Amino acid sequence: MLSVLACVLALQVPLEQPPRLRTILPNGSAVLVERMPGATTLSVQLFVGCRGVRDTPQTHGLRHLIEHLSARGKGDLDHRLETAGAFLYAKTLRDATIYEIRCGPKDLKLAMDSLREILRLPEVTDDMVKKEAQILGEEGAIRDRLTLESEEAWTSAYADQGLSPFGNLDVIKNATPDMIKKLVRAEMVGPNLAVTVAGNVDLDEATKLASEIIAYAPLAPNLKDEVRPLDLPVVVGDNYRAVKVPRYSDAETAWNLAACLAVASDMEDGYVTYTPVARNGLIVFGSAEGRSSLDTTLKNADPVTLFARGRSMARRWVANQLFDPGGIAYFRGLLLVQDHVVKPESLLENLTTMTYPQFRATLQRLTGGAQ
Amino acid sequence: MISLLLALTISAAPGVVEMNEPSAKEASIQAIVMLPELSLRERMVLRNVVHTMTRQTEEYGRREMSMVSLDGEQPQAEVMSDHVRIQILVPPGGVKGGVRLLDSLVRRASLFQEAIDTTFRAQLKQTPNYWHSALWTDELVPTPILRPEEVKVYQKVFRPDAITIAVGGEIVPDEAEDEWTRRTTDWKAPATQPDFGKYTASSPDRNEGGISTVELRGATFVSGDVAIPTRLLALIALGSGKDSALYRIGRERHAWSYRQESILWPVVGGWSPRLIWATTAGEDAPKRAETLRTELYEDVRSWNEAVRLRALGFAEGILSRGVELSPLYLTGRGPVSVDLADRTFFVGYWKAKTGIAWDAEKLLSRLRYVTLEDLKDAASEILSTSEPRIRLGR
Repeated sequence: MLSVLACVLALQVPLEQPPRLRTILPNGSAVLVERMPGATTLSVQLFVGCRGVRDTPQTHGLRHLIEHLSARGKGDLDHRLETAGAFLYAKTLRDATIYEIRCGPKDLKLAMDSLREILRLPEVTDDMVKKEAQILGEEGAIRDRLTLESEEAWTSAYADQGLSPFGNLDVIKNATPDMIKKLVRAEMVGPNLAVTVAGNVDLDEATKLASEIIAYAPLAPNLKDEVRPLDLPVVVGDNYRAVKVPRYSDAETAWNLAACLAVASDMEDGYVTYTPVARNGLIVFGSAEGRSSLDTTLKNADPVTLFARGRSMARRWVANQLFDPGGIAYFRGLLLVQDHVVKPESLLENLTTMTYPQFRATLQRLTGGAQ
Repeated sequence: MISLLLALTISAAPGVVEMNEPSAKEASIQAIVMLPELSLRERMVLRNVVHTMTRQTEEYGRREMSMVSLDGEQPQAEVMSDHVRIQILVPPGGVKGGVRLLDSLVRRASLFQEAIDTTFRAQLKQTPNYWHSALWTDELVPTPILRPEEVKVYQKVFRPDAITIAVGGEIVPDEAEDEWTRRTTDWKAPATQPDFGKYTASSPDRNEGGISTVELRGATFVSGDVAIPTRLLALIALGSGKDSALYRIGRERHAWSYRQESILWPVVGGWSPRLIWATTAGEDAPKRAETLRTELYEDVRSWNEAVRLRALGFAEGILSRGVELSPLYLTGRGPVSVDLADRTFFVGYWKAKTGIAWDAEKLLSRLRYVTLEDLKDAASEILSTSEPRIRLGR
């Protein structure tokens, strides 16, 4: 095993130089380390992509259930982490499951050991599923209005390809240990795994430790993904609008994000939700005040006023995501696990080249029918 | 690099707190206004005031306000239980302009009847979620307000002796202080204060959405209480983090709740320790609440060094790394975070609340001296002085 690992590490090809090092391992998994001298927080994040195991109506919620079960580790993981001043966050998105250890800069090894523990899902029993399903029922009940609206928008836009990351409680309750084991096996393949590290660390050491925990995963050369269709681009909900956008690195996505942010800034308690995704995605925007504020703002949207503001706000949206180690590891990792080439900065490049006519046309499409 | 631990402050002058971070490339300017005792009616009016005042002042309309800020955003204002916070983010070099805008907002807000009504209509459209309702137990449902009453509350709250200005980010030292002092030296608060009759809370006692919330609220203690470190650590041991007593019992043992938190809730002149959890339980929520309290008591009796060290580690995580599940619930969104705006606010708020500059390192060192027995006593006191408060879902 050790000799195999040594061979694997020798084959790593660094594609970028410090302060950031991205490494693609032979099994298709990826590691990215960003060095932040002086940072008091270290964020280490494990991304489990879902190519090949996307939610279907029959499996809707199993990935979320696995996230809950995995995050327990051996049972006392949270106690050990919190005693060290560290914390484990876990969440399930449509395109990946994320486990983050946030800790002090000296606790890199603790973080890696914790992620390794999470990757080794313990033996699951029917009782564990039953109890976790009950907790998931409590979680589902407290989803807020914006989350529910976003889920509705995704389903309207992409039907079964936009199923909520939360899942279907009936599917979750009826899950069996065998179903879970099978899904985990299909999910934990090289191309679906990435680890990102951001903080005051040594690039080589962090890359080596991160590689060790995912290099074991098997190759899966034929992972295919369905393409989410971009027809009928705008979804009109009771209190929101949503616009289908192509992959994160596409210029059109940058234009739409700029337009949505600018329009929302004119609303009372306006909001925009967008999760960076390396396939076709969705931007949802609206007003916490509901339909009337949304309609009025869309009707009065002035592209001349909003152009510069939209560009500036979209730039700040990127900057805010890349504000601290946690944000950097999250943003870079989420894109990396879906596509090894896409970077957060691609949106900034597309904003720089965005012209006024492109912005105006995008805005007109968003406000269609309101003006 | 970024933490409450390192948010060292330079107190430029009474009422102005500066936090210089040249790498920030922006500046956060805030007015923190500590509240006097207010009736429930006055609090309701104040919630209208803070949204109406940011619509127009004698010198600024919404367009002019947006020109002061970074990205054209409007100033934001919110009411908490013991303070009002107004904030604006400006580009480097924009601090003077930001201070001018704050001065205008806190002294010369227009508060036109039409704007008051607009705010009122907007408030009616908002449906508070279960967590908001659990936190704000005695809010009045908004009713129409006439301008004279609005102005009286505005003048009662926004007084020179109650305001702290906090400036953080890429700033020129003393610039904000000079500008604020120059503009407000002649500011005298009105001598008389309005007196309103007593009102009874009429907020709905059931939550929308079918979520019940259960609370154990301990006895309030004063802002400068010498036992704050012990009380804070006890609160963390009871309900902050995934190895806290509340999490282990409410979620892991019984699977009754997904969200449960401990909160150090600011009140005028002090703090209230609170344990809150959300549950889908309906009519059996009271029974579960009592079971939970009993089991929390038993848990506290069994605490050992491992529990104390876990609480201490978690406290360090909160103060030095911005772990989100902090009990320091000082913003409308929840716990204070470690972004520039919240750090700027926090150093100003702490000075205004306690009279001393924020020193996280000192607080951490005091937390390390809390003994296991003191920790258990403080946790037991929180539980023994509390009564369950329950809001059923509908």
